[in-house]
Amino acid sequence: MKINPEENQDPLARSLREWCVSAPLPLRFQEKVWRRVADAAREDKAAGWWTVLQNWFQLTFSRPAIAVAYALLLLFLGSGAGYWQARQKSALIEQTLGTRYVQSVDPYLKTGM
Amino acid sequence: MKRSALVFAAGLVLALAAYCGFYFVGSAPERNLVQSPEPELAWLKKEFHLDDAEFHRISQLHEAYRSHCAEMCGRLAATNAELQSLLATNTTVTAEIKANLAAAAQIRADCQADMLAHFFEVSRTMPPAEGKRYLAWVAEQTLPAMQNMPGMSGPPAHDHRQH
Repeated sequence: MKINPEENQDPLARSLREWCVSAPLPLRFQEKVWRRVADAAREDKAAGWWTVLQNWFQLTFSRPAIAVAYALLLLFLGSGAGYWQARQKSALIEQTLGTRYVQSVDPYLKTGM
Repeated sequence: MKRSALVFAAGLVLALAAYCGFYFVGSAPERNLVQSPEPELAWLKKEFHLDDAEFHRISQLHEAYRSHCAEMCGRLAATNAELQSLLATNTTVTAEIKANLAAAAQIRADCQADMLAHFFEVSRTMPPAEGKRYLAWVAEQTLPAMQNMPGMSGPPAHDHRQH
């Protein structure tokens, strides 16, 4: 291999070539490195799922037919739940008031029947 | 992405609005009953489809019955108190205790008769079909309690102070 004469004359380049690290590696250096590699891989995998989900979400809801169907479904579910809850509430109130009426006229009916 | 998120959020808002709308509109009549001055009587009017004149007449009957019932309850409580004092001072069933027991039983029988008379009068004030339904319903509600009538350990369970 041919050495560049200009580089040969540069003191910095020469110093760098001759520099040698003699300090020992920190304790469990390799283990720490591999752990960081594994962590980074895991983060990449998680980001991958998130990206997939985002893509699916974007593709699905950008289609007008799907968006309309989704809105109608939620409208139906919200209405149904509201109607059912209202019926439950009304039935409870009616039952309570009926019981209170009977308690108001029957001296021997125990309170909290 | 922004548009998709908007569609998603709009769907949720739509569902929530539909839920609230159906819930509040659907339960409004019954919630209004609770807010009325006499919720029990307002319920009676709705349940047995009374017109205003019938409701007014039944409200009057109800108030009159309640006053009379309160008076009977007071008499029964006094008789029971008297019996308690007799029991504290006697070790046998005296003629006085027997008379007190008979008086308490008579008051309770009168109370029941008055209650039934009130039911009949209320049912007569209603349209015939509703009156019949009222009688059947009220009998179903009160007869079991009458059959398991409590002893003389205390005054009747309902509280006249709230009227």
